[in-house]
Amino acid sequence: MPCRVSRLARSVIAYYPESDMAKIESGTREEVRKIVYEFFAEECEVSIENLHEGTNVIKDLEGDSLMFLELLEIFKKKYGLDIELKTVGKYVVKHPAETIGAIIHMTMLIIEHENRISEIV
Amino acid sequence: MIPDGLPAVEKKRTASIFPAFGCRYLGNETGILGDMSADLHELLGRAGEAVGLTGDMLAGSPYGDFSDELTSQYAVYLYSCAVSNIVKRSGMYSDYAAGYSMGLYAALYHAESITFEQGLDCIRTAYDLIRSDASARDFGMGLISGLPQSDVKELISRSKDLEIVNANNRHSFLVSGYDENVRDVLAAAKLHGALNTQHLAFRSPYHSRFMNKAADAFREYCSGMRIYDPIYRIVSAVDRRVIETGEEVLNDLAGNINHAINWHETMSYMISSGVDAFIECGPGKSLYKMAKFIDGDFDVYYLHTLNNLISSGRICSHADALKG
Repeated sequence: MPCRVSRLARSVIAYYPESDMAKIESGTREEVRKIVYEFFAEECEVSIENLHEGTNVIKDLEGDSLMFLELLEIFKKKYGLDIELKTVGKYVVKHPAETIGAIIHMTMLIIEHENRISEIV
Repeated sequence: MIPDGLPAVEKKRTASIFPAFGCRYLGNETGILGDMSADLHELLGRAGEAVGLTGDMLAGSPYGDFSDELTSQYAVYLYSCAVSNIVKRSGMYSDYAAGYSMGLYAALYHAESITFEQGLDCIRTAYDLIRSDASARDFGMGLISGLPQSDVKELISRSKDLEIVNANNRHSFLVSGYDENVRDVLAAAKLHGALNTQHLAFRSPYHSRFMNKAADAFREYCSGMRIYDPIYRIVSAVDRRVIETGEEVLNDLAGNINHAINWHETMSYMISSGVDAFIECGPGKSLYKMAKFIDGDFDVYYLHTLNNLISSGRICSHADALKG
């Protein structure tokens, strides 16, 4: 398996041309879902067919926070998001996202609300 | 020799990097290394004679979760030296070598500045001196991920004993000091928006000023050792100096005990010097993961992917290096 640093980030951005603005368009959720699945399949060296919405990234895939950080950077670049990591961190304290489904959901919220995600209770 | 008509293969500029204890192993290091060569077996025999490390100890903690810090340090050093042997036997030249924290000992072994047994002695001596200094109080270390360094500095400024003792990359920082204050700052960091905080199971404030006495004693110990000039340039994780003589090695061995290191800057230095392939010589892939948040166009190969580099034909050999 190739292990080029940020290769996945670069390939994802090349595959999905960068949007001009952060907004939810039709197909965005499916796009996010595809990226998240491909990301964890590559990072955790598992087959994408073995992943599902309920897969726990920490317990089932032995993932870590650095993976989540990398995923966030991918989406920041792809959608040109105005979002501070610590804003996401504050949100995660209140709304932990450990499964692939929860991470997709949170990513959609970040794309939609950017830094205003901190206002979501 | 490249046949006529074929383009020359661009050689990688390579650095060998060495992890510290505490990293999570892949779990099958013993099998992978055993399939590649007899180095691990041979070195384990020597480590058994020197410090009592056994195969059962390794087998009991396949993921590197040793309950004993000293055994954990011996183990990561052993695996790192075994990978080093394989890298060198495959003909790969290291333009640079660098060690993350106690990975320095394996980097020095790789650069033939110290012997395998000297490295084990250094680990044991440093550990004893550090524990002696740290036993007076409860010390601790913690990891903060997802905050900028300026925010981490602000958070630790509330406790005079706390220090940032390593910047792993642009998102991840190690803090060290009195354990109660480490725990407090981790909690504060979480509230401040850190994506992750982790209290580490280390009982000593490695790389902090609390280790000044231990560093002096360790320098004295090391000054009695025969230290050779390294055959590869070592980049100091303490101050990014390029180490080329035995005397400079001695200074770095001592400085590594009581000075903060900066892995982010160490990697960045090598990248800016043209390195585009790093070989993580050791168990796990902790340095590979850290490198994801270090800017530059480079690859990091670890044990699972080392063969990809070897078979790529793009490695720079010692003969290539001699040709310049």
